[in-house]
Amino acid sequence: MIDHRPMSLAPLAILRIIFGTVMVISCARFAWLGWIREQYIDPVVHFPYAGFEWVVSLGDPGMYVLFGVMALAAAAVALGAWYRISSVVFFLSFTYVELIDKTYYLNHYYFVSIAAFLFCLVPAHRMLSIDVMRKPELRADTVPRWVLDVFKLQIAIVYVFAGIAKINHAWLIDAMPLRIWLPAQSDLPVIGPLMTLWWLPWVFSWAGMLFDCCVPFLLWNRRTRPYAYAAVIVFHVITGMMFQIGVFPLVMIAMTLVFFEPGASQPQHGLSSVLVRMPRPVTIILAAHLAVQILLPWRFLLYPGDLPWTEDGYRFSWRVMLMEKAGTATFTVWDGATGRGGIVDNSEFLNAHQEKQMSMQPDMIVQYAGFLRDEFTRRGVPRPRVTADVWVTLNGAPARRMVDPQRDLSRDEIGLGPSTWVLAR
Amino acid sequence: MIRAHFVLGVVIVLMTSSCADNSAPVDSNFDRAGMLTAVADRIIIPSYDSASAAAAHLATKCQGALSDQTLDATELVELREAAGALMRRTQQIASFNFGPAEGDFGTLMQEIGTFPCDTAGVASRIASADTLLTDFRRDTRGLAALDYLLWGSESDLQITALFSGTQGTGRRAYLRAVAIRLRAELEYVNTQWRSTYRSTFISRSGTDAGSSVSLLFNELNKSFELLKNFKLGLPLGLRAGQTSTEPTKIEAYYSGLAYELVGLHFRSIKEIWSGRLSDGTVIPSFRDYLLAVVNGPRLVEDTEAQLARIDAAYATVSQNNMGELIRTNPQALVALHTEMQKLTRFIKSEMSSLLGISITYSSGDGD
Repeated sequence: MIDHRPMSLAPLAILRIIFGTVMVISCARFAWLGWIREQYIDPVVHFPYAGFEWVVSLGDPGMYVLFGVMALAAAAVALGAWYRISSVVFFLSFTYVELIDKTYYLNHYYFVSIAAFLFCLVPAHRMLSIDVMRKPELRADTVPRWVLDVFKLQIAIVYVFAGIAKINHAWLIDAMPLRIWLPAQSDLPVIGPLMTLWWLPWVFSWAGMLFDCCVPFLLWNRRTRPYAYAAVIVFHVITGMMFQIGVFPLVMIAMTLVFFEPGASQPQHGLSSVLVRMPRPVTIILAAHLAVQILLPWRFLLYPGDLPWTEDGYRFSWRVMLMEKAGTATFTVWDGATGRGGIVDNSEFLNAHQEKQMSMQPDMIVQYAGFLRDEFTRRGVPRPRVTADVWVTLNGAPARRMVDPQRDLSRDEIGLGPSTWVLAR
Repeated sequence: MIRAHFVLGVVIVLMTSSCADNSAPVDSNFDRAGMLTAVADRIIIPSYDSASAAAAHLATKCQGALSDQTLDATELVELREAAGALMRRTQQIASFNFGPAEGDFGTLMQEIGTFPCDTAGVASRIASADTLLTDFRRDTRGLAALDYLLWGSESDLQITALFSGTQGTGRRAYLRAVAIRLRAELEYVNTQWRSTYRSTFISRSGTDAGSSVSLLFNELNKSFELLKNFKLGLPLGLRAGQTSTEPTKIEAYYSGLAYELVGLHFRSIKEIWSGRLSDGTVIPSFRDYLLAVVNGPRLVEDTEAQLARIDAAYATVSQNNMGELIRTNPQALVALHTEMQKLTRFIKSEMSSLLGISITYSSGDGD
């Protein structure tokens, strides 16, 4: 299983260059679209992950500086300049931003964080890099083959879990949510008119599931690889056209290049090749990482309740574009002294995106209730209680109440435990 | 090959079995561009046209009535009629606050429809002959200023007196300036719609952020939230942190038109959603769009039932003086607010979910 044969370092170095470049583009795009301000500076409330409440927005100009540092680090990664430092700086700055507010959680950001983490641990800078120009003794030609296998395995984990997540009644039998999403895309160039065909959602649902489950294996196999990579391009270009998923298609098309590798190592330019040996602690960390990656998506099994409804164990599991969920959440703040209740205007505290995400995700509902309790305490409401009437629709079904409208949600706490405040669907 | 046939077979069997309990599946090819065209030509442009004409009429009336040094009782009645007509017709455009309606000092409805009136601000502007009106003090001009200037005193005699003589010069100039600005604002947006924006609006017939369907949907909801939260909730003291009712914060407090305006505002929202116009014509609408998508007919049924409950709650209030009603017996108004609150999920989260409409204005990435 673990292949210690030396293999050319070139694929890893090239992957590093492509990854760094895509991340520079991603940072520039984020700034260009005004999202640094819109997502991290303007909002008065953020939704931190449990245990990461200390990760806060750095405000203006702090967030701009942070993105500047991130972009510089990404460029340095691409160039292989001061790589040991720049790769770590990129991983930390990117992950910090992602941890500020989970309403912006996206599986592809999570994937970028993981890839950045892996790049911190591998010697991707020892060829085709400024570091080698600075210190020629760094130059190496080969790595043990398993180092690249780690990247392949990571990508395989993403696809296979995304595929497994699609094996359910709603996706395969009801063709939901694609039966909602496809007709809405009828204005696309070229393929638009097809989107309204009644049977297309079933074709896309099954094709998507089969693609996700199979493509890593087809990429691994040399004979099927070119066809599999063509499928990767087609799949990601089509989903990129249909859904607002930003640079994700580009990231995946770029990263799956890792499956293309030269055969066994060939000694280069007549010199005896230099093999990079992997330090034992790094090997252990990588093994542990992969073990976590394989186990984490199954953690939903530890929770009672209905996964798409409670979303306990939903994130960090490659459940990508899996359901159409939306809610309306009306919060009431009750004066602890007089018992008088007042309705909250969510737009006073949340932007449209935050409100949309909060209104259907139980942990965010409780976090927001906690914020409202603190905010209205500050405004002079004595011992406020916070209740919410939350109606959530899942895959086009009639909306159901998500929490008991009498319950004081400001007393609930989020953590690793199940979301006990959620009513059964 | 055998395996491929097997999979195909399974797919077909599963599909037919899942469809068996539904009616036969049909392609859902609702004509969004057609809906946008109808909404533009039958609702938006005629509404801007009508509001713009009312503003022009008011400006002309002001010029006439205020040309000499006196404002007599007949002229006051005429001005009030013109101003009231404008307030009513403006409810029809309250949900189209996008495109050319986005101006230098906020949107058109913020510019002309901000309430309650800052009466002290109006007084100080009159005192200092400040008629430029190009700043962010939107609550000193627009419809709220008309309401205050034409109705905001104890008696009609007092009002005509305030507008007359040399001490009324500033007030006359200010009312004129307010009316002229209203005319200019509405004329501008109306012209833009008639010249270039109509085709822009119709051409963006997707459902992504920035598409006209998304704009129309989002603005419809914002308009409804404004009606519910600020024309009813806030004056009724129903907002978080309020400790009492605030009856003076209704729209058109002085003229007593508030409740009628609430009704007109709601009617316009209903028309946009249902496509059933007050003159009896029916045009393609969100309602028809919903009927064309999976699970849509059920939502149409729920939405219509809730709309009817709101209409019923509205009709139970017979007294027109809303400010007085909030002071003395707000229960019926609270009930109306409650019914409106229940509508939100139907026209916001459930509708956007079924239609696949982007709910945000800038396109965030999703997954």
